[in-house]
Amino acid sequence: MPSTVVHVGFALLLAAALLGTAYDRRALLVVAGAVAFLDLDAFVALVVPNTHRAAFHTLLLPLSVGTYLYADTRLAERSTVRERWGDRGVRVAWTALVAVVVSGLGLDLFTGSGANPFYPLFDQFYAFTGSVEWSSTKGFVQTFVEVRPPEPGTTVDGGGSVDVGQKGSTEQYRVGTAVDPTEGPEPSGVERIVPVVYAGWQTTLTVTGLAVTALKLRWADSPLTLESKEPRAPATESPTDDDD
Amino acid sequence: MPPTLVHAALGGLLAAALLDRAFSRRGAAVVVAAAAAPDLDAPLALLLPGAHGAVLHTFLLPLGAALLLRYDTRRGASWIHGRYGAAGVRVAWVALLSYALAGTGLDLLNLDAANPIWPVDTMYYSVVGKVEYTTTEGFVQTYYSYDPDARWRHYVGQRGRPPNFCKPSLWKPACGADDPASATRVTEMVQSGWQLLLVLASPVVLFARAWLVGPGGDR
Repeated sequence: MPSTVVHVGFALLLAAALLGTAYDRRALLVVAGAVAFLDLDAFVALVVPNTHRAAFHTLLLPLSVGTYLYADTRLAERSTVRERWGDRGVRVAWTALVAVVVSGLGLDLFTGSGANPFYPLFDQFYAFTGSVEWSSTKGFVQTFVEVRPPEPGTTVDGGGSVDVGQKGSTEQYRVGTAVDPTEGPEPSGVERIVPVVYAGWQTTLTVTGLAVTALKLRWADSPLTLESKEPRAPATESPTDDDD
Repeated sequence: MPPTLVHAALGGLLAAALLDRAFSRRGAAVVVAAAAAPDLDAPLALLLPGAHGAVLHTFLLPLGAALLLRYDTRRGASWIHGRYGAAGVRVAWVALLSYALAGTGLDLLNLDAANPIWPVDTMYYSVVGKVEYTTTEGFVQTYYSYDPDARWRHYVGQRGRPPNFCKPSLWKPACGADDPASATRVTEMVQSGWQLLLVLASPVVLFARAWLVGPGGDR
C-alpha cells in the first residue's frame, strides 16, 4: 500500500522523463498535485462507504480528462487549453495524466490492496499481483493470471474461473485509511495508522524521484538542457527560470 | 533480489528523466546496462564464493568511479569530454547514479540483501522497516532496534555473513559446499505487481521520450 509520498516520488520521476522543455517547478507542482489528489478519496469514504481507492482511483477520471484534452488540442479549431496556458500547458497536462494513471492509480492497482479502476461503472477492486519465473523443473511459471479449468462432473457452480486479482466490490471490500479506519462510525479509541515510510522498493522509488528532481533542477543551466538550444519563441520568451 | 529486468526498467526511467540533450539510444543503453551490471556478480559467485550481492553491489565501486570521473572532468583536458563530448559526461554521471540507485539500492532496500561496503566487511544487509504514526502507539519505526539478547544487539537489517548467509541464483542454485547438480535452478523475472508495472512503464516512457524529442525537435 504505497503512501501518497511514494506516489508523488514516482510521479516526479515520470515527470522528469516526460515534461521535456516544460520542466520547471510549477509543472512539477501540477503533476504532484494531480497524483496526490487521488488519495483524497479517503475523505469521500467518510460519506460514501468504502470508496477509498475507488471514487478517484478510477480510470474514468483520466479517461474523460484525456478525451477532453485530445478533443481540445487536436480536433477543435481553437484550443482553449493552448490559448490559456500555451504549448507548455498542454505538455504538462498530458504528463500529469500519465503520472496519474501510472503512479497514482497504477501503483495501487499493482500492489496488494488494489484499486477499483472502473468505479462506478463496474464496481470491482483489483490487485494485480503475482510473479513470473523460470525454473529448471517447471519452466516458465506466472501467477498474475490464474486460470482454473472447469471441474468435470460438477453441475452447480462447477465452471472454471479466471483470477486476475479480484478483491470484491465496495460492498464486500474496503481499504482502510487513517481518515476512515473502519466501516461506518468508528468506535472511540480506534487505531488510526498514518504510514510515513515503508522501506524497501517504495523508498527506492521515492528516493530516486527526489534525487532526479534535485539533479534536474541543478542541471537546469547546463548547455545540455532541452531548453537551451534555440528557444522556440525567442522574442516572447522571458527569462523566467533563472531561480537556480 | 529484484530481478535484473526490474533493475533495467528503473534504469530506463532514470535515463529518460536525466539525460536531457544527451538522450540517445546509445546513451540510454549505457544507463540501462549500468543498472543491470551489479547482477553480474551472480555468475562470479561460481569462482568466488560469497561474491553474489557483494562484489559488484558495493557502493565503493560507483563511489570510486565518481571520484575518478570528477577528477577527469575537473582537469583541463578531460579524457571523457574529449572522446565523447559533453553528452558523454552527462551519460557517465547518470550511469553511475543508475548503478548505485537502480542497481545496488533496489537490492539493499529489499529482503534479498546486498553488501554495500564489500570488501571492507562481509556482512549483508536488508534495510527494510517502516515509519508510521498511529493514534495508539505514536510514531513507530522499525529500522533500528536494540536488544542485548538478540542475535544482533544493534539491529539495522543485518542478514549474516557468508558462508552462513548465501543468496541462491540461477548460477548457483544450492548454497553451501555441496552443490548438487540436481538442484532446481530458478530465475525470477517479475516478483510482484509493482515490478510488473515498472517493467511495463519503462519502455513506454523511453519510447515516448525518444518520440517527443524526435527528428522534428521538441514538441
